[in-house]
Amino acid sequence: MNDEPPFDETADPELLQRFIDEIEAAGFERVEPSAWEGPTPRSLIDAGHTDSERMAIIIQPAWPYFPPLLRVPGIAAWHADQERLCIWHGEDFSQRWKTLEGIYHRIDEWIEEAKDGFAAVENARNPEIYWQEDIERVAGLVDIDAVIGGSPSDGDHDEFQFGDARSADGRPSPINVFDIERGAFRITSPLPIGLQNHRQARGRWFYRTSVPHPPRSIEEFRSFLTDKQRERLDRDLRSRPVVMYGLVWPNNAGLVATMILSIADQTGTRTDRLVVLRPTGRNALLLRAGPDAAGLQQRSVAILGAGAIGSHAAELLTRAGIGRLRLVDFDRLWPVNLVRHAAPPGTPAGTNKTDVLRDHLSQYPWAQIDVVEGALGTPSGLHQLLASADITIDGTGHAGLAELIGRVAQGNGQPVVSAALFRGGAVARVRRQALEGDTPFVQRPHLDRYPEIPPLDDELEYVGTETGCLALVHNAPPTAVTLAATLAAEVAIDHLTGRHDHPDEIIEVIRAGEPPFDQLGRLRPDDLPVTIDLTERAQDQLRELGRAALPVETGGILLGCHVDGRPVVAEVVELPDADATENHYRIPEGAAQAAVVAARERDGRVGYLGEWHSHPSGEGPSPLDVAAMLVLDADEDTTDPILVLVEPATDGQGGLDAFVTRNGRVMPASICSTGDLPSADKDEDA
Amino acid sequence: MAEHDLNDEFLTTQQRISLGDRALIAIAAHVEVRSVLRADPQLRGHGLYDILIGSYARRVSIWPGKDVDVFGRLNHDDVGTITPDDAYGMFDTALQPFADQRRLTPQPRSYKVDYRPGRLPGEQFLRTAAAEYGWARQRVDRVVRELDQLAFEFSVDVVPAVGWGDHYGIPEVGRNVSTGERYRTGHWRLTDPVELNRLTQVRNRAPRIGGAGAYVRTVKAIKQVKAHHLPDTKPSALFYEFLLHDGFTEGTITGASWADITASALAYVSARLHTIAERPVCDPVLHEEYQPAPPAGDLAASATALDDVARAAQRAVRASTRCQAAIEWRQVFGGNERRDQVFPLPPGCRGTGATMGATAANIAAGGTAERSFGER
Repeated sequence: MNDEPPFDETADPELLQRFIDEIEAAGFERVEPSAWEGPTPRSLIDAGHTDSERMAIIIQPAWPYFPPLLRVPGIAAWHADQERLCIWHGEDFSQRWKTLEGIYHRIDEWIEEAKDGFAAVENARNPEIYWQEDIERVAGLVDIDAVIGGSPSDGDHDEFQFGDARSADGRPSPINVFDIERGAFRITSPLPIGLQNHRQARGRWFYRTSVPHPPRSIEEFRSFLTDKQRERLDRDLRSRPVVMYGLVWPNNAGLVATMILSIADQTGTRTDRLVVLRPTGRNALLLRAGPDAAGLQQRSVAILGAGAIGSHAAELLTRAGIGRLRLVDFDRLWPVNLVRHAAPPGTPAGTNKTDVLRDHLSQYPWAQIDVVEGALGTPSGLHQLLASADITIDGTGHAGLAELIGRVAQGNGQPVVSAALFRGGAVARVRRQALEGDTPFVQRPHLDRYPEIPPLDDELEYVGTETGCLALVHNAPPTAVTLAATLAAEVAIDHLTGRHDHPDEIIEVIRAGEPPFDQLGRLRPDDLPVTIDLTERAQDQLRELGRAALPVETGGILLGCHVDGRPVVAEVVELPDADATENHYRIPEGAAQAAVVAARERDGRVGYLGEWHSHPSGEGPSPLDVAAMLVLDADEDTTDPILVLVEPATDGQGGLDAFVTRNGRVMPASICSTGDLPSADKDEDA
Repeated sequence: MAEHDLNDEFLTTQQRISLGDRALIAIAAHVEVRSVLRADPQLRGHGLYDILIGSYARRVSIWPGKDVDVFGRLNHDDVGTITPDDAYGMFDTALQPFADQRRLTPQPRSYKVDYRPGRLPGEQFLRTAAAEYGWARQRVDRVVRELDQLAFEFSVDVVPAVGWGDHYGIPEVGRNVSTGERYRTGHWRLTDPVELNRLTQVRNRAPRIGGAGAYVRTVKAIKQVKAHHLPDTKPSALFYEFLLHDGFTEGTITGASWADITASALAYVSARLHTIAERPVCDPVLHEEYQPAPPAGDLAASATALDDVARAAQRAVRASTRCQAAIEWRQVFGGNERRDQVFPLPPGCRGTGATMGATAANIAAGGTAERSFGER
């Protein structure tokens, strides 16, 4: 072992030594510190990819975590970067390159893939890497779709203009060139030498539906054109001092091009430069916006509250491809707000939050953004806002306003999402009220599957107020803010795309606290305490029946129906057991169903909800009780049964304990008192 | 006018704060004690005339029930012919059967006869009491059947009394300043619980709500409020009863529904508590200031607590939904030893004050399988 290349930066010197031993045994010789030259596989020559009998294996630093480079003189194919043959995907972590056999095997695979034509997705979108001719390079930003326009046919060609020239509809010209060696592109960036201004330059594109591989030289470029295209190019070159011409062809995700900037000096001598194109424009940007982007172009979102959560949600949704965005806020942005706001640093103090967001997000060419400066705290104002978009996101963090939005939206069937942080940013909650099955916001406070998130003490929850008593400043960190915003945006997209994979409420624990918020991550329904609704009348019945049967047990079934998505035990039926003892009770076969049938004669809404019996001993469920409940759970007529145990007392003040059967377990539940079921045929509040 | 009168719920509340079967047992105990007193020749010779007095007589007692007060009036005596000690001594002899059972406790003014499970009044006294007070036979049968299981402890206070003009004298009691012990002073004290019984009946004739006298039920309701919010706090429930008597007599406490009249009564009581110094509470029969005068600190604390309750009642009558109104009334009335909440939740209401949403029919049929629970 030594500390010379390639051993000085390898991650596994012993393994590398074995690899080198293997390739040297196969005829490879060291020609550079990290390069070994040896025989080109016969298959590569036979397939016509090269004439060279020799190829090189170049060992990269950090071997074997990065594959060796293969230098094959004269290689001409997709996946060949100048003379380097690219056969490994960037994502490939097979490390098959640790043996020469593995490399040869992969070369043979690649030859087979090349023979049938690589999948379009494997065609590079940066074809300049194939260029082999030694000419100067400049950079260009191009909205290739805007340059070409429409749906070109093989052999088509047309003119385009550069840079600051304006098209007929006033939009900037879709192509700019600049000298990449002299810094990042700005509208004032230096132009390539010989080019006085953008307006001076005009160009022409030539479209082919397919090319054998990206051109590697101007000669090859010309050879890929049709005869007519070549004639047209030559005419341009004869008549204009500055010509940019491009060969354009499609891959799976759009158009790609190789372009040449050709400038003639005063003597007529032309200097050709390869334009390293980087895509810009709507379609190119949308490629990075995810698979929903195309569908989201036609959808609209209103965001109420352009503060921390609202601004990040707005940005994420815009980046994701939302076509229309309405931002609503009355507030201005001050330097301290920038810590958590999506506005770019350096935003002038005092700018309206909505304005800065609109300006910031206008870089996404698909987004139409309008702003509403004002507080929409009135039902009529909210109604108008909700009606203006496919979905509204409440990012105000104002509990009362969130409920008001929920009420207004519910009345009009308008979808809303509300996002907020709790406990100093330790818990994020995103609620959706959009589908028929979504529980209205106003109903959630009393349903245990929507747990209340208790606040911290004010000193921990807030860092003070901005403007007296009205604007408490939450102590949530930016990480929590962006997480809440991400969840809100994701839930909105989930709705807009019609997937509805998310439940109507997401609670994400970012920092663990008190149960049920003591486990990091998504709060699952199974983690939540369970409450059953038991009417006061049913509770009285249970205590009285238990007392009357003393000293032995009695029991029966629980009846009721579902209200707001959870069972309400409204009626207790005793099914007496003449053989009951102090510690045993039995319901004979058929008795339960008969009791249900009889109860339905009185109220057609009620059905079976569970079992009850008394335990004079006051003990909890026995193993037999648990087994019986699990058996019942497996029957579709008695699924998810509730168990209520009565500890009877002679004064009628017996205790009640409730249990639910879920997922193969009998779990304690708390009891929530309710009134009797609402009348079946009238509104109780009418 | 209350937005939601919750009439049914107020009636249920009355049932829940009432003594129910306990009242029958308490009155039967009075009958039993009465029978012992009437069997004593010496008391008979002094013209014994026993009368049920106190909250049971006025029918304003509430759960869990307190001592039963019985007046042992010696009709042949008056405050000029017998000393309190002599009168007191006669009752000691008469109540000896209870002393033999270790159930008699002499008090400075009266004798206390204890009742507890196993020592509750027998069936004959229950039936006698039921006949006198018009209780349904089935109810009496049930009480007799369950008598052995009842966990009810109370006492009957027998108070010696003699005539004093148009009213009565009972032994006066003083308190030793240094030891705090109570003792008979040897003087008579003027009182008239019998007239108070009558005034209560008169006061209950009007106003009426749903055919029932409003006064007695309102007294019981306010006693429940006091018991829940101001337990073991002076002044006693009788003080509030006198206050309410004033409010009804003045016509200040009004209302066409139980909700309205209860809210009105609470507003009246809380307001009066702030002005007791200017306008003391008086016994409506003797027109003397309520004794013992409640300490100023206790009065102030009670006034503050009842201000809150009165405000809750106002919120209740103005609540936009019956469920929210019910939650406020539950706050007002609280609970007792029997229940956490005496005011019931109306149909379609949750314990949070929310109105239930639409009900979905439950099609679960309950299955036909046998179920076996327990230890086997």
